[in-house]
Parts: sequence; C-alpha cells; structure tokens
Amino acid sequence: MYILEALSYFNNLFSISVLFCLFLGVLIGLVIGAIPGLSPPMAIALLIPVSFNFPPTEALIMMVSCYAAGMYGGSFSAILIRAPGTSASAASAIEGFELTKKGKAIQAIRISTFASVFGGLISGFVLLLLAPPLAEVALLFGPSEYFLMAILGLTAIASISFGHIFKGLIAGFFGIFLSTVGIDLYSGIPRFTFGSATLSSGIDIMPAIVGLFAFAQGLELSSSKAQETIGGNSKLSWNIWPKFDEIKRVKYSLLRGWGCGLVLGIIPAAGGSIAQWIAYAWEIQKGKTGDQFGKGEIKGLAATEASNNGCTGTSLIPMFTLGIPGGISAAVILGALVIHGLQPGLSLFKNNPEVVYTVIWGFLAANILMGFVAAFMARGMAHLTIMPKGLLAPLIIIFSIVGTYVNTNNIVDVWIMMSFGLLGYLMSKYNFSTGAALLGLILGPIAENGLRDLMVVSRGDLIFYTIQRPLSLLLIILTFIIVFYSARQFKWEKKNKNIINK
Amino acid sequence: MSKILLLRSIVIILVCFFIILISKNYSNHANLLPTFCATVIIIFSILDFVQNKKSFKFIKKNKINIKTLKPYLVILLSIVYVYLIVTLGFFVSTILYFIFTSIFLGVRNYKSIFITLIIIIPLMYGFFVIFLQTSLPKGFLI
Repeated sequence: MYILEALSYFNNLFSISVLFCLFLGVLIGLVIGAIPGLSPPMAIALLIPVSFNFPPTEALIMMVSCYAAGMYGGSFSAILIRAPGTSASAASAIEGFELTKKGKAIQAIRISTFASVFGGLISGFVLLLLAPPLAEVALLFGPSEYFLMAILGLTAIASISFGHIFKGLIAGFFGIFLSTVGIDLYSGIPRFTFGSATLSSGIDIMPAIVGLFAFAQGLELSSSKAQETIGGNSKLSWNIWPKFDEIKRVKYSLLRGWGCGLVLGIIPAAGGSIAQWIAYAWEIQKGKTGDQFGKGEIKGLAATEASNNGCTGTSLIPMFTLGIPGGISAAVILGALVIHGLQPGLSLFKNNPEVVYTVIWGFLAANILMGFVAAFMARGMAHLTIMPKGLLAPLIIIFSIVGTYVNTNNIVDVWIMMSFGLLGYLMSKYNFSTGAALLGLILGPIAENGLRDLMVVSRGDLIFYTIQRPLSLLLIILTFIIVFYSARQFKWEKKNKNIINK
Repeated sequence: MSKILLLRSIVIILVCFFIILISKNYSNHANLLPTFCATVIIIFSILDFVQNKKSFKFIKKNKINIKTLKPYLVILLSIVYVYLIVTLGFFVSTILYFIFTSIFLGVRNYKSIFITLIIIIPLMYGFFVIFLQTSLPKGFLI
C-alpha cells in the first residue's frame, strides 16, 4: 500500500523549481560539510530564510538534500587533510588520511563516494517504504537501551586503539569525563566549570572535533619539512568512478556499514556519529591477516562511509512519523517543517502525502546528484594533498579558527578548540587515540543520562529491570560478543606478533 | 626506566586525584561518573606504565631543537592571530598570519604564498561574508 502511494508522487520531482532546490541543497551541503567547523545543521539553518521563497515541498527538498550532501561532504576534508568536516566523518579520517598519505586520495574518495551514495539510497528507500512501521522500533528504546547502546559504542575503543589498548581506554574515559563538564541536568550542580559561564553549558562537540582532528593536524604538518606534500606523489588520477575490483573487495564492509547506519539512524540521539565507530570496530573484528587497519585499509573507510550516510534516511523516520528528531540536523529540518505549516507525525503521511513522499523522492535524487557533483569537486579538492605542508598547515589552522567562530559567533569556542588542538597533538604524539577521546565525549552524556534515568525508572533495581527487556538483553549479548572477539583478537595479535609484522 | 614515562603517569594520576577530590563536593549522584572515570584512568595509567616500562627505556630522548618546537611556536602565533582578528580585523590578520607562519615554517617560494592568498582571501570573503552573511570578527581595519 505504501509502495503504490509513494510511487504515485514520483512525477512531482520533475519540475524546474524542485530540481533547482535539489541542486542548491546538494551544492551548499557539500561545500559547508567539507569545511571543518561548519556542520550540516548550520547549513540547513542558513537555508531556512531562503526556503521562505519556495513552497513547503521545494523548501524541505532543499534541506534534506543539504543534509545528505553535508554528511558526505565532511568526508572530503577528513580523507584529504585529516580534518573531518562533521562529527560523523571522524572515523573516516583514520583510514582515509592514511590512504591519502600513500598517494591514494582519489581511490579513497572513489570508495567514499560509492559507499555514501548507495548508503544514502538504501537509507532513503527504507525511509520511503518502511517509515511508519519502523517508527515503532524507536519507541521501544528506553533508558536501559540507551545506556547499553552507549556501552556497546564504547567497546569500539578497544578496536580503534591499534595495539595501545590501555592508552585507548585512558583516552576514552578522559573523553567521558570531559562530557561531564557543565551543569548537571539532574541536580543543577555545575561540574568542573571553575566559575566559567561558558563551560556551564558543557563542552560542545564541534570545537572539540575541530581541535582534536583539524587544528592538531595543522600542528602535526607544521613539524614536517615545508616543501613536503601529504600525498607524496604529485600526479593525480582522473578516475573518479569506482572500479569493480575495489567494490568486490569491500562488499561485505559496505553491507556491514550500511546495516549499522540503517539501524542506528532510527534511534533518536544515536545517528552517524556513533554508527561510524561501531561499523569501524565491527570491520576491525572481521579483519583478516594482511588487512592494514590504522595504516590505510580501504575496508575500514568503506564501512565508516557506508554507515554515516546509511543513517541519513532512517534518521528522518522518527522525525517524520513521531515528531522526534533523530539528531541536530533532523531537529533543524523539523523546525522548518513546522515553520512551513506542516504537523509532523503519522498524520503527515495521511494529510500531506504529496509533500512527504515528494520530499523523500527528493532525498533519494539528492544522493544520486551528490555523487556526480562530488565527482567533479573531488579532483579539485584532492589538489590539497599535493600542496606544500608549509602552506597547508596555516590554511588548516585558519579554516579551523574561522569555522569554529562562524558556527557560534563566540570567540571562547575558538579558545576551547585550540586547547583541544594542543591536546590532540600531544595525544597523537604519545599514541593516545584522539578517536577514542571523541567517542567518549559523544557517548558520555548518552551513557550518563541513560544510567541515571534507569536508576529512577528501575527504583534502584537496575539488573532486574534491564534483563526483563528483550531489546536490552540483545544489546548485552552483542556487547559480550564484541568484548569476547576483541579479547580473542588481542590475544592472537600478542601471540602472533612476528607473523603480523611480516 | 624512562623518567618521561614515569612523569607522564604521575601527571595523569595527580590530575585524576584532583578530579576525584573536586567530585566529592557534588551531591545527588552528580559525582558518580567523573569519579568512576578518574578511578578507571588511574588504574589504566598504572597498567600502561607497567606494560611500557621495559620497551620505553630503549627509546632515545628527543633533543629539543627548532623542529620539535615548531608546533608549539605555531600555537603561539595562532594565539596572537586570534587576538589580532578582534583588534585588526579578520582579513588583515589572516593575510599577516598566513605570510608569517608560512615563512616561519620554511616556505621560501614567496610567489606560492602570494598566489595562495590571492585565491583564498576572495574565496573566504565571497563564501563567509556574501553568501553565508556571517559576521566575521571586525577590528579597526578589515
């Protein structure tokens, strides 16, 4: 029934105003997403005043296109200069940048484009066909599930520590500690703010991510010889389209990444930031002898890129069907939906099917269009990798500063970002995983809020309450499986150190 | 046993004790997570120290020279830059910062510095000021 109804609105896509909004949304999303500090929610918010000039359908198409393209655009800078444009592309910076250092920037972008475009398409089709029934899954998530999901996410730390397990755990727990800075929402007590009004609202993810990755990368590059380049070689391939062999090699990585993205996208507050790390950790667990995770493994990049765009469509499900935004971008789109006089919820599918189904078709078209636009942008942007480090380092620092400032118009955020930059530089120098710290910072509030809500709803009997819930049990089993495989892999690596080194 | 490794572990542990001490003042379970994190970090720091102390002694000490100090000097330049963008203005400070930092890092091809600036500054102005209409920091210049 849903399929036939959805198909009947496909024709609405082919009007000049719809196609114009689609193109504008994709272009703005790609450009803003690629600049560290400027996020897709900011891009969508900037489009709201522009959207008043268009009917609701076109306006919303522009925003969902911007969202999909922004999520993908963040990977460009992550792969090319290790400066992720969005928090959902931080994991891609690990393998992507290592590939760039080997002179394989175009190959990395090829895989990223393929994984993102098809991830977005699959996610879009799930949104189109299964939105109302899947919305009920989001409602099954209670405090215990949120807490356990955060724990499941934290198990990824073990995988992304690359042999420095204790340092990875220190970094991860340090990230969780940093997430506690600010006023405690349950007691109203300011924690570790030292009287600063700015710190009262906590540490924002954006300055942290720009500092830990982009600014730190600028510092890292400044210690190299000025005339050296990131890519090493000075020739760039024109071949932007993925090769069959490449896709064949990463086919299971793509499937795992898409799976993670689709599932975690539906859950409010999870989304691409968590999905990428879980997909990456899963990929490392499934790694075979010869795979070079942490040193430029295409499978790792495919999984992270598949997962972050795989969740774009499904993250819109709770927003359209329940009025619950799955993330910040969805919250801004929800705001635009209301501004344009539409009421989110299942009634939206009954009262305004022409708007909602055309927007979803628009979202699907945006994913295809972004692949083509990105193909043209990719080569130009890849030139960054053959730019002398002496010029690239100050440029990265300038964009980190201006991106952070423009995001909130607050100079204090720039100081926070620079502090994180120094921290990130020192952490990388002494082999502490910056990814683990970021993961802790993202998952910390979810874990703490989940645990404290759980303490309230379970009236102190946490274990009994949790094991009564099937979804919680499933998450516990999944966590144990990952811990078991991590421990086994750790043991195996220790035992076969010589073979691995060979 | 390397003194650096020992010093690093001691600094981490001291910071964690400081966190635990401050957390004691927080009531209503607000102290739970910070105390837990600090305790776990102390345990892992000790384990990390024990695991690495054997391998660490073979690592040669890095001599302090201009190359190792470069990133820290770039931070200092960046701090000056952030102060300058609110006094001189964003675009003038950016031009000055880019020129000084590139030369400090060892770029001697002044033509490439000039070309990069010619491309980047108008692009930044077009994107941030005209298109996004954001208010970049303003000083007594531009």
